[in-house]
Amino acid sequence: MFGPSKATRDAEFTAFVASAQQPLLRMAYALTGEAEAARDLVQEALTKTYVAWGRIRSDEAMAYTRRIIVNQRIDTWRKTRKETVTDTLPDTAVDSREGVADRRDTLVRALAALPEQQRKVVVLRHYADMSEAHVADTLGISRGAVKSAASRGLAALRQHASSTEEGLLR
Amino acid sequence: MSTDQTTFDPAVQDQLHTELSYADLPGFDTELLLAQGHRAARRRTMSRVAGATAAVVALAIGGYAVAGNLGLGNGSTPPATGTSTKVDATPVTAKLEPATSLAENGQTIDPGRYGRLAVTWDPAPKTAGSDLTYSTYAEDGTLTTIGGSSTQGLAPNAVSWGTSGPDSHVIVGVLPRSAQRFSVVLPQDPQGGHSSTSAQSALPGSPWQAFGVFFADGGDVDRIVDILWQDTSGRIFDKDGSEVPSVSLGDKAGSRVYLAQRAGVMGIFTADGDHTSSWLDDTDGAARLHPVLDIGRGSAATMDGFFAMLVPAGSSKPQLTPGAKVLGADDPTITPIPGSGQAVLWAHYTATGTSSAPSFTTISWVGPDGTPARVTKY
Repeated sequence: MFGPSKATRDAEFTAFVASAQQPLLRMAYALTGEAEAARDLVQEALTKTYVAWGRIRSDEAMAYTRRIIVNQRIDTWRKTRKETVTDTLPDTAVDSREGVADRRDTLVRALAALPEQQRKVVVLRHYADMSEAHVADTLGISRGAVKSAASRGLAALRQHASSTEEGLLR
Repeated sequence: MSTDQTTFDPAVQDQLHTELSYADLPGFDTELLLAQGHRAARRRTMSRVAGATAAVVALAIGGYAVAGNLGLGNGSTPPATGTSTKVDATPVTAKLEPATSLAENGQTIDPGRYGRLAVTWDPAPKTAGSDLTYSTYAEDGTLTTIGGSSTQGLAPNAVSWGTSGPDSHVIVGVLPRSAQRFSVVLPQDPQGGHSSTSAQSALPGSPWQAFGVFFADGGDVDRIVDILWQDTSGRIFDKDGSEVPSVSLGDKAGSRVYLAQRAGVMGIFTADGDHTSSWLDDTDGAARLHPVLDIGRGSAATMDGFFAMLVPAGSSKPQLTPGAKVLGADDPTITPIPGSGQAVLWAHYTATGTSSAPSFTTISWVGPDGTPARVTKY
């Protein structure tokens, strides 16, 4: 029932944040499509992780935080995000730093245009590198639902790719 | 190709990793993050008083209710607080034993000293705003204080509770004296949720009763959405003391179905104390057009089931097509839930208890505008 001391908890949590924040921020960015929204999402998730630190093992912290991110805030966020998503994706013709940024934006926008379940599955499978079973466990859905969402999500991304000159998923 | 590879595309993985790796996402100031975590952890330990935003009128009513039960009210102007009047009353203590142990996923969770909780209500506290003391108690009855709260400002039908400290598995607090039973509402959990046990105990001479809940998962304490409770007349209230729309079905089970929009659930209390609820939204947050309760109890061979679906108020002509597992079903009924704009289409049925198939394959009715409606999947 009781966890580590506050000093130990703080030290462990600080180490965890140092190693996990960028992967978590990028995952949240892929899910939300906005850097600021991603930052809010991860900050809130990390705060909850801190509160729960006494009852989760340090090697579970990443999975625990990811679970919070994908299950607790996306719905709320997406209600506002939907207003800014467009179906027309920008061209990505320049292979420079700007070009990379454009492609990233295009990718993130394409993800944002996916239905939420598909977006979560694609990001967890292909960015967080989770297995189907792990994705199913994290989202609380069946493996069949993961397969279906992944298949449809990838198909939709490819369709977006075909609508751009260089597009995604070359 | 394994089944795990059918939904995997290395090109997508490469592109996500490559292009997101360039994302300019500033990291966190860990000191600020820790400070935020400390505040969140501290909030867990603070006593929570529901209905703190109640108007001054409610404060007065609350004070009057306390004084009245001590024989001091007598129709006179109610005191502004419970401590401004000399009161000849001694504190009362209710003891609770919400759990001796709790099994979760094959593990037994020992509540330790938090398996024995006590609530003391002092009608004349030395310090204003601290008439409730929460404690654990030893086998010899010795109390150890773990927190406190106040009924001052608490709306007459509201619920007040606190936790036992960081990573707590318990809440302890007070419910109105008229509460027969209560249910803690937690957020929808794709994993199916966790187990908990609870206890109630009278606080003689007070308008309150003590309650405690032990949760298998400590995180649940922070996630409480609402506490719904049913009074002795069957009416249902939320944690803030607001009445929740509900209706008695007049069936043999003494069922009362409620619709708690703010908590996001519909549910049923039965006369024998059972309670079940169902979410109004899907796990992805989309509103369910017709939320359903489909519950049963019995043996593996046969089960007594109850089916209820929300339909618009004014609907009529309900029909149910039983699924393969249903052995028999009563004629369905539509009963309006006053004040909700909704009605409940319901029926009791019997079924084979081993099947997980849907109880009914088609649910149909005629809407208030005369339009036929039908649901074939729930």
